[in-house]
Amino acid sequence: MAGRDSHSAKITAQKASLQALAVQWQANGEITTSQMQEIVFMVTTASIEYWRPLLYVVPRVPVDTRLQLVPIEKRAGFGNEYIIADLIRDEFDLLEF
Amino acid sequence: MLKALDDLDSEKIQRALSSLASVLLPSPSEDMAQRVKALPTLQRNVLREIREQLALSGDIPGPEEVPLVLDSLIQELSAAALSKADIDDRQARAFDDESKGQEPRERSRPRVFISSSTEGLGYAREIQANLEAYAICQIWDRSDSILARQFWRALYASQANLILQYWSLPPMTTWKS
Repeated sequence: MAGRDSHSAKITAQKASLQALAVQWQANGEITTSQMQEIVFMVTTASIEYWRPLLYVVPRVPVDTRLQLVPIEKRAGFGNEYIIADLIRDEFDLLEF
Repeated sequence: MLKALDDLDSEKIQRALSSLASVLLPSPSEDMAQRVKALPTLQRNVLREIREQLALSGDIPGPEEVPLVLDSLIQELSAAALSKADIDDRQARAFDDESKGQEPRERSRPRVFISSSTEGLGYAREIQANLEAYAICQIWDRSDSILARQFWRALYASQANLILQYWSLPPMTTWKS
């Protein structure tokens, strides 16, 4: 990140994943065409600093009933991975490295 | 524009490219060959054309080739999705408020208790040093008997957000809302 190297395979995968999700959400009617375009635009044009790693610390108890287990074929690894689709800002802390 | 997508409207192109991108994303459960073989004809043709453009041989992208293919897909998908968009409007909406969006929110620092055995004290101090900018840290390095009697009682009275415990066994993290 400090070297502004824009050829990270992980960042490329994140960009592709976000764009694909935006198109799927729009096709499913979960977001508007305008919102989908906004996501695609930001993913395509955001500078490398926007892709810096962040650590979200989410206390589990308040969100326990809203955890959605990610299917194994969509996880980054074999460990449990969850989605909290309606997480709000007051429910997590954000740490920068 | 890819030839394989010539006769399709923008929405179908977007869907085809996004589903292809999803299939090519790293996954621990199936190997790439299986996933590519299961692709519909349209997506396989798109993949083949992109691989030709990148001068890659074979039909299955290797691990080192996937980022190249995904990067091409990002460009194609972006072109299709934004073909009818007002770019100036997108630019204004996406980045005019970027400084507001990136500003860290003012918030009181959480309290973190780091419980450590004597032999783990070095690790506990390192964790404390690294968390100090974000949290009010307190190391608990008393004997186990004292911890057993007082630790949880004191902890729950303290409004701690995160409790880190260093043991000789695998580390345990306990959360308290």
